[in-house]
Amino acid sequence: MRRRLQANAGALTNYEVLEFLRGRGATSDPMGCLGAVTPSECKVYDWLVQTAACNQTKESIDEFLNKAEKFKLAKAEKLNIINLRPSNLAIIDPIIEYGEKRLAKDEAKGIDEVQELVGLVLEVLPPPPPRPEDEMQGQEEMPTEKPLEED
Amino acid sequence: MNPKPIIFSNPSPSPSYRRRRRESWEMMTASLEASPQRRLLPLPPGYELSWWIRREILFVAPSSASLEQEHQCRRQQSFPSRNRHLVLPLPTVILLARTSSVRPGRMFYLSLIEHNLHLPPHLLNRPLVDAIKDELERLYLDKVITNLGLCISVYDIRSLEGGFIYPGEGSSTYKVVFRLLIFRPFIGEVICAKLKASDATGLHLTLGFFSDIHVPVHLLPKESEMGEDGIWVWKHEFGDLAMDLDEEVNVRVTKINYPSIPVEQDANAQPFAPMQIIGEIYGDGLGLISWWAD
Repeated sequence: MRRRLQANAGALTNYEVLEFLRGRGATSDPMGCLGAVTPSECKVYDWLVQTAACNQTKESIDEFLNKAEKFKLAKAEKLNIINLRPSNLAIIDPIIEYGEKRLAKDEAKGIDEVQELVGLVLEVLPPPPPRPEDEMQGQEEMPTEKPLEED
Repeated sequence: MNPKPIIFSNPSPSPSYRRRRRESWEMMTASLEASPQRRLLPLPPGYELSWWIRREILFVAPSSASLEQEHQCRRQQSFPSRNRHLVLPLPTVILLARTSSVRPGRMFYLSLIEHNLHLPPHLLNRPLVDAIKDELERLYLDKVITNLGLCISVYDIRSLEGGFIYPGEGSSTYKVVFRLLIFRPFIGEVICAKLKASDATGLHLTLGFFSDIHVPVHLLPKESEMGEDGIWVWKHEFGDLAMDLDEEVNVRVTKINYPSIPVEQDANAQPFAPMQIIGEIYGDGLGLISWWAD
């Protein structure tokens, strides 16, 4: 009945999936996209809009890939970086396998390739939009209190 | 006479690494020996597993040269074909090379499928491509295919053939080749998910459209404890960090399970999850984003 011809016929970044869904007619408005896309696709679209992919453009991704050539990253790592947009050294650390061995770090000569990579990410890939809930949480801080016992 | 292990160009690890590796290897083989059903590589008697395990190499060495002849004559008795044991001509080196943990793949990818589709007669008045697309969506959307992942949408239709109506049926049969957009993160990928629930078995994370991401207890940061309300707290040297609900968490995928459909289920049990992602937050940069923010 069904045959898998090619299990992996091409991988997509979050940005490409977003473009595909936008092209089908998905929007953030849940009522607006009822006719064109199914509710589950709408959910995927909602999640993608919250990630770093919503502001990206084809040009920024191409520019990032060109400039990242010199670091010799694996395809999966480049993709992970584009999807996740790590903004500091700590977050980029789990993405790159064997980071200490592959990317040179020599404080005497002033070469720090990981830091260069982070700088490249910050410069080329646009930042995700700030989320309204996080801003609200910063303003009002609710201390957690245990309910008082009643005698 | 033990054949020497093959020397690779990797730099040799430190003694403490070797000791740790040997300990973990011994623990693993002890558990393997104890449970014969789960033995992946049944060893013939007279073989032992060398303690020296490189990162990707499993090396099996004969323990004594004198077993050579014994092995040859015991072969037929000990290894009837139905047991599917490995019969090793001596001396033999088995190399099980494990590929790198970061596989080429992405969170979303396309998959080319060929399907013999029955188009029911009530759809025959619609334009063909639309009808086929609706049928495919009805069949595949939101369904999990084992070892492939969760189907999000039909990407495009590559080719259509057929359209024959077989005798005894009302529906026409088409052979459709199309691409599906599949969600399946690869092992080693770092995902940003939201913390949905937290209990004694670990953390449960969600991505909005996919909620079965589980971080079991042994993959949490090392000094974590669970508070009374079920919230896990990471106690490290600079203070306590609580893993509160509704926080964004970076999690690295370690495994994807596709459990088979259970025959019976309790009324109160969790709804069956056909695809379950196991992740870890043990490491730099993983865990709550607020821990690593500038």
